Amino acid sequence: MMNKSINKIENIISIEDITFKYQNNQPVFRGLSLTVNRHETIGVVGSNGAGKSSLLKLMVGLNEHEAGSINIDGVTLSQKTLKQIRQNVGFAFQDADSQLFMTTVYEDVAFGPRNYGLSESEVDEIVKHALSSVDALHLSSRPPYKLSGGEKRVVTLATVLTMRPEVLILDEPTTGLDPKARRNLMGLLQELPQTKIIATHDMDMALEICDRVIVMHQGEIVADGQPIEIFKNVNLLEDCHLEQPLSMQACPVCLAGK
Amino acid sequence: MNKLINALFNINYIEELARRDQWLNRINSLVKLLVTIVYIVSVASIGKYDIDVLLLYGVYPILVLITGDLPIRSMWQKMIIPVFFGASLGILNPFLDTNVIALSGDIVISAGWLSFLILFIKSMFSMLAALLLVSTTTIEEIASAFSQLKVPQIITIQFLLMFRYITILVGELDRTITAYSMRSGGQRSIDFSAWGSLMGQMFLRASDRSIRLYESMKLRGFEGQSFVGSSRKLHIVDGVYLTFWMSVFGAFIAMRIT
Repeated sequence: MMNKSINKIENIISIEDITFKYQNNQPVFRGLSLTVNRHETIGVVGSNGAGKSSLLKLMVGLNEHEAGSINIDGVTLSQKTLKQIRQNVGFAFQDADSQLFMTTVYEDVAFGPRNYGLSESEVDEIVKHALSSVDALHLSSRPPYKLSGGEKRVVTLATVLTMRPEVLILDEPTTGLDPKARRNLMGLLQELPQTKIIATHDMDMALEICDRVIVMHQGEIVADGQPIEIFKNVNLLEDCHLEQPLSMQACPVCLAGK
Repeated sequence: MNKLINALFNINYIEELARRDQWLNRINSLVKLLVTIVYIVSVASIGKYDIDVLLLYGVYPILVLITGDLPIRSMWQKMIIPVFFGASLGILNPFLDTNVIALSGDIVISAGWLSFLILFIKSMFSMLAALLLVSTTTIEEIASAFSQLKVPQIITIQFLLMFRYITILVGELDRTITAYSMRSGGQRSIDFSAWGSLMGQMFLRASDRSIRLYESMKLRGFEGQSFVGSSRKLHIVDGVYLTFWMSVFGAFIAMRIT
């Protein structure tokens, strides 16, 4: 019981010595480890093919690890615990169109709760609450394919929030958004209390909303620390084919004391 | 080419029609499904030379098209290829069945040509009836009607997933052909040598997207359960609609017997 309460305060995700490879390919991860604290917002950055999306998919069992263990909120990931884990971890794909498939926004957001056998009145309450929390209640009756990129993103987030997850995993959430939609989404993410793991190429977003940034390169975590410290390390960024956030490039002095 | 594809396979447009707030859309999905099934079965069972009775069955699609305020031109565009494909099954009839038969009055016609014409009309009526059903009833409501008819759940889910896959496949077909035409130097059609790779690419991409979509469903608790919402309750107007059409079809069948 005591251990459980300590667990509530500290680690919510614990990945230990993970090994993973895609069929007939070289291993993507060899002995990768990572811990994430509760209510932390973590940015996962790295060049294309660095292993960001593969890592995120491992956490919800979409990729199966060969060795090591993944523990999320006290539950060790396995085939038996997949449902429990997935109820506790919301995953938003990079391509919002892959996540929205029902005829209306309402039906799409209701898909998850219905799968867990809730009554229609409970589903209705959850759907409206989720859509309100992302300021998208007015989109309820719209077909998903008619939404703008920004609207699709927030609806995708609502579909995930209906599961009332403790952890949110977002793969490139700001890709393809115009500046205003990106700003709205960032504001929304900052308001959500869940632990968030965000894979992104948007360095400015990582700098602005993340408590911690992990740099991945060729399947390894090569740096892990506070965003400002990570982004000050120009050599590290160059080695990993990354760049400093534009805000730091434009005004390095302003951020030096952050 | 894209115009033809859009006209033929614009499933999103059909879904939009199905979501309209017209009187016909508000009729219970089970009632509409039953009427459609009875109509198609009775049309299919008409004898191969009974053109008089067959033409009477035209009253159903004509009345539904007019009273349901459905776009006739758009319906025809969607039907044209499937109808010719269906009728092509009887393409050899004029050559194989060379008897001559007399219609009402003094009109004499080759039996082969008559049976071919009847097959064409039967295909047209049956496909039109199915199209009218999906244009006035959302796919989830149709699936809900399947459930009420005690159709095995696995078949209902296959039906829903197949509908979603067709949407994805058509989307990929549209994108692939657009990409080809942008670099085709003004060709009016797709070069024969490119068909193989284009089709292969299209199926692979559609398959990839389907996998992502399925993963997204799994992440939200989908484990093979039906994902249809509750259907509309039965009202008096549903009973009137069902009784009316069953009486009409019953009268046609009685005419055939006598």
